[in-house]
Formats: sequence, C-alpha cells, structure tokens
Amino acid sequence: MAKGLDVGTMNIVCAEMEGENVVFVQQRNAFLELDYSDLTKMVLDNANVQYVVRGDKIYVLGDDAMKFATVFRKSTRRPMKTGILSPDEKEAVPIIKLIVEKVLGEPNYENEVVCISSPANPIDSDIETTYHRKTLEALVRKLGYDPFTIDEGLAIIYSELADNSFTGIGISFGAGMTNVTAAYFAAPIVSFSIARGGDWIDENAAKATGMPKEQVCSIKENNFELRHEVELGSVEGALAIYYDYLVTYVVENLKRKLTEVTPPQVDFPVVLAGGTSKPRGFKRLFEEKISQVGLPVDVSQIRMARDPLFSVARGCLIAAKTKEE
Amino acid sequence: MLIFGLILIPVFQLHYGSEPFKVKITFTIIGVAISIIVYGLSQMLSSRRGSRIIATFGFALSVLAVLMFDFYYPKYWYYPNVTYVEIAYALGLITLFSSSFADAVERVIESSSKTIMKIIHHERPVEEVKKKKEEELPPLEANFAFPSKSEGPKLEIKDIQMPADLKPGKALERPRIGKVVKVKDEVGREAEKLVRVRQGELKVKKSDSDILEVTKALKSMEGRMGKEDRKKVFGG
Repeated sequence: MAKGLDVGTMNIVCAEMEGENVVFVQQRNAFLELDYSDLTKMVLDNANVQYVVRGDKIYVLGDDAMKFATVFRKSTRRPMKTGILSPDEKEAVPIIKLIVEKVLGEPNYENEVVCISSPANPIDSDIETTYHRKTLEALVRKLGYDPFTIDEGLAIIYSELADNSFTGIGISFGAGMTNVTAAYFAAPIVSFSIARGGDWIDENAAKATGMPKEQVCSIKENNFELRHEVELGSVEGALAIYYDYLVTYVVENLKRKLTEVTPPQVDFPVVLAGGTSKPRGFKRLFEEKISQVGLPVDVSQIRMARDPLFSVARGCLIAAKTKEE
Repeated sequence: MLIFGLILIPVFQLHYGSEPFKVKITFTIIGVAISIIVYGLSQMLSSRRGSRIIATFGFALSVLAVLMFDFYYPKYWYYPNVTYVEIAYALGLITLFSSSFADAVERVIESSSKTIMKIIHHERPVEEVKKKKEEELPPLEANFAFPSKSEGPKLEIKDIQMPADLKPGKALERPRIGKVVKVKDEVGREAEKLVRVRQGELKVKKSDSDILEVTKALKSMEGRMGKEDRKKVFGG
C-alpha cells in the first residue's frame, strides 16, 4: 500500500488503492471563524459539521466552512496562499495538520510511503517553496508515514501520460498557482510555477465588477463557460478576460522556458488539469493560445486530464507505488 | 613581447622623423605580439579543425602584413603599398577575432546542451543505462532524474502540538473525513511502467520528421546497394 497526497490551495486530496479501485478522499483546504455559543455548537453537532472550538471561537473546517460561509455571508480563511503555507495566517499549521490528518487517515503499516505534491519555485515571484515542502513532509512523517515530494506538474505527467512513456507537458491550473512541467521519459526537463491561478482570476474579476470574491468564485465553479463573445460589465465577461490573460501568460512563459533548454525532437502531448481548468471551453482557449504563440516542441495533442481535480493525487499515488518495498 | 614593444616607444622617443630601424623594430614587435596574443586566444577556444585552419590563416596574413611593412618602410612607404599593408593586417586580425568569437559562442551552446543531455540519459542503450545509471550521474543529477525520498539535511522537527484549549467537535472523532470517490483504475500497471521507463526499458514515440529521416536514409542505402544485397535486406 502507498498513498498520494495533493495539498492544494483550495483542496486537499488523498489517493490510495482499495482492491482494484482507487479511492480519492477530498476536503476543502479552508476554515471559517464563528463566535462561540452553546446554541451554535449544538446546531453544528446535530448537522455533523467538522469544527474545533478554541476559546470563544469556533473554527468550521473543510467543505463545511465553504457551505457556512455562504449561509453567514462571511469569508473563509485559507491555511495556504499562492500554493504554499500562508505566512499571514497564524492558524495555518494547526489547521492544515488537522485537515491532512483527517484526509490521509492512519497509516496501514509503519512507514507507509506517501508522495506529496509540491509547487515548483515560481518564475514571477520571490516565493520560495522549501519551507512549505519540508513542513508538509514533517507533518506527514509525524503521522507515521514515510513521505517524499514531487512537483505538481510531474504528478500530472505520471497520472496521464503513461501511454507516451511519461513524455509530455503537464500543467496544473490550481487555485493559488499554475504549475508546469515538461518531462522526457519521466525525467523533468523544465519545471516551474506561476504565482497566478484561480484565486487571481476571482480577485481581479471581483475588483472589476464590484462583487464579493466568494460570489465570483461560485459563478466560476457553477456552469461558467468560456466563450468567444463576452458581455462587458458582467462577471462572466470579467472572468473570460482574466482567463484569457492567465492562459496567454502561461503559454508565453512555457515557450520561453522550453526555448532555454533545447528539448528533444519527440511528440509532446499536453495535459491540462486542476480546478481552474474545469470550465467548458478552457481546452479550446488553450489550443488557440498555443497556435498563436507556438512552442519549440512538436505538440501532438492537447487534452484535459481524466479528472482534473484528482489527477495530481493519482500521479502522486503512482510515484508512491514505485517506492514501495 | 607587446609590453617590450610599447616600452620601446618612449625609449626611442619615436616621432615622425625617427630613424627607420627604430620605427621598424618597435612596430614589428608590437604588430607580431598582437597577432600572437589573438592567435593564442583563438587556439585555446577552438575545438574544430576548420576553425584552427581559419585562425592560422588570419595569423599568417597579419604576420605577412608586418613583413610587408618591414620591406616597404621607409623607401616604398607610399600609396598604394601602405593601403596593402593596412588591409592585410586588418583582415588578418578580423579573421582571428571572428574565429575566436565563433568558437566562444559554440562553447556556450554546447555547455547548455550537455547539461540537458546528462539529464536525458535515456537515449543510451538499455544495458548501458542499467549498468551505469548509478555511477554516471552525480548524486544531485541522479536525484533530479529519479526523485528519491526526502533528501537534504535530516532535521528533527518536533511534533506540532495542538493548542491545549483546542476542542474538536463530534464530527472530528471519525478517523477520516471528506468527500469519497471510488474509481476502478490500473494504477499498479502504470507504476510498473514508470519504473521501467526510469530504467530506460521503454522508448518514446518518434515524431514524423524522425521517421522521414529514417526513410530517407533507407532509400539512399537501397540506392547504393547491389541487386543481390538489396534483395536480402529489403526482399522482393
């Protein structure tokens, strides 16, 4: 047995084998602060809501935090920001420890191998990912596991490109970051991240339209479609503009990084994953940008991951299984 | 040699009317010294035979110009002889500099492609990869190609103690929480494939241009073969 763990800014997903099935356990990486009262506590207990009490505060965790945020018209807090542990959130480490513990569960045996996804160092920000990576490894090790980390983009290649001998480009459009890896025979030749993702789109669309960020995010996650024609002044219009900007930015940086390394002359399929890549029309937008900008490799195919939300965790599980003794 | 030549200028107090032998000695030494310095630089950088020949030609041209100066000065030192000497010397130096520049650029390109080729070691024959995988790659590169379990200094990190006043709610008493999705999947087979690819046992699909190149090579081979050999190799 082995496990794969995708620790993202928005979701934490664990993947493990159960007979012939892969079981994914997913939890939102968020929490909501409420004022303590016996009545609130009783209501939360009756509704089977995940929470912890500390002093005069109640912290609702995970998916429940998102639901209650809409009900109470409050903003959720995130232990992570732009792909790494949030330095502005003092409760980040204890909260993420709680969520990781509950998503990962107890090890099936001592020192069970866990592969954790980690962002690559971004090219457009001074964020350094070592602290984040080492903290997560330490958290998971304390639970009785034997952890190691791989880049998010590489995890997508492991998950989706087995038929192409793990050669190709994996791009994870996450909430906090966009991670890109180009690999040749499972060995990364280019790996980088961009400190922009779904949150960046939400924030800017919210600023542009004057709507709360949570509402913009909700519109984005429910039936939003990227079309050629956009209505100016609408949230959908603002989202489409920022999606277009993000994808152009990613493709241009990918071209720049590939040009620096003289990639081998083989077919490079591109796989898109991550929650931000879920709207309909995203693949078409990406294809258009690739044909406009052009890449210094033979792009044989552009496709979405089988399940964009679980692809990274699945890739981590495959990597973890190769380390099993 | 160049320093010696330069020292001679103040020593001889060279001016328009200086004695011809003083002018000849000083400028012959300086002229040849400059050519030797640039030629030496070019030889240090060059790795191809072609560039060495070009550099030697440039060096010879500039030395020839110096000899022409010795021959023409002062009796025949007028137009067009002066122009011939100047053009020959300038051409010689330009050839030397161009050769050195081209070599330097080539070295920069080669050094970056070598780094990539060290990482992309799967092109080598399977047996070679199997045998030499460990020895060939220095530890840092080996880790890059085959990510291993947590590298780096082994820090002993104390367990993060949850604050004493933190009380989990009823729902958190369950060992695991979260949305569960079960999918029938062949993860085990793909993990095996990943191990085989890392060991260099699987090949990648070549692009159309590679196939075209192979086809061309086969065609030209067929053309050069005798009738009997052609039958043996290609049949028909």
